[in-house]
Amino acid sequence: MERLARIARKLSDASVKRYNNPYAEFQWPQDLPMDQWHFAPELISLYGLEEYAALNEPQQKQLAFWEAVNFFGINIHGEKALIGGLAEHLYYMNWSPELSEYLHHFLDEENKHMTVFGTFCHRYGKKVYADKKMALPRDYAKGEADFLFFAKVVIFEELVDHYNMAMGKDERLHPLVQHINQYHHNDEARHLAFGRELSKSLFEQWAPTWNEQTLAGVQAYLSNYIVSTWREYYNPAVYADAGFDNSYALYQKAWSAPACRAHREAVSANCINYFLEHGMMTERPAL
Amino acid sequence: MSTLKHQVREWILSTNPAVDGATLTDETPLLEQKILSSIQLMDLILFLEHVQGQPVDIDQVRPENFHSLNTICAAFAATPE
Repeated sequence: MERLARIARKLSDASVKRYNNPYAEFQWPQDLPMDQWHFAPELISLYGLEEYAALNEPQQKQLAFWEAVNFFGINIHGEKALIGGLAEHLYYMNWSPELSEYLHHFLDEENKHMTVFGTFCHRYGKKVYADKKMALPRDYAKGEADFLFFAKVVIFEELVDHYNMAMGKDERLHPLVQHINQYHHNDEARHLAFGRELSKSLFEQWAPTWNEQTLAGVQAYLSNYIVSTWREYYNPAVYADAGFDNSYALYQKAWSAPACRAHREAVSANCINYFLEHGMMTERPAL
Repeated sequence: MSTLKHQVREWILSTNPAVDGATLTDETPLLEQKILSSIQLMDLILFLEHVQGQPVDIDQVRPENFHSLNTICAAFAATPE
């Protein structure tokens, strides 16, 4: 944990230096022009499907807008769960004070991100799409729940950060959407560095004490989490709002489409490689 | 058997080929017997919304409501069956 404490101290310094106020930083126009892109076309969940190609540009832009509302909603639900877990780990057991100090920044930053995402969804989409993920109760070996929580943080943030990085500098997008994505990415880089180190450290500490059944359970749990996180990117409600009348069939088709699977594999590769490299996963999940 | 129960039953059997239809009763504990995984639950919720043509009540999305075919229908049937 000494290396981790050093990293946490550096990250806290960076958070102080880059402390921001989203209430002052963001200007929210009354309406968004619907003739602009609000989501990168190549990242739209139906991209690569004939149904997407058959849309004219205004229809593609309408779909892109609802994909943005869905993406920001995924961020809201993911960060809400994250905030709860981070708070539980403040001043936790015998963890070093540097970790709590950074967790305060982490929490503060996540809370501010949520307000930005929530403002966008409520102001322009008039809703936040519902969270349909459900955790099933299970027993944990000692240290397993802590490891799994921070491993999930890494998975969730790696996936959203791929989108943030791409859209933060995508000049085809409306400036507000670019700004939100860039703003999120700026903090996520630190969160990811912390999450990666902490999950690795927890795994190295506890995995040697786990039996084969627990290790297999960890692999299955993380695989399921990656798949269920990706499922949220394919939302029939988005397709219905964009004007498709076969939204459920489209959801099923998109999930099974080779082009969409290839996209999920490419976006997840860094994260999965990290887990494989450090023994935290033993095989690639079927995405 | 109610329409919704029949539809959910067929959905479970089609998504889980290993499940024997002859032993799947209205009271079979779907989570305890690992017939439904957490990923399949997300799919099932979308399926319920699709067949009923309206969003599920998100407050009802709790593990105990997915215990069996009976509890699923009691919690999610759009109209009493």
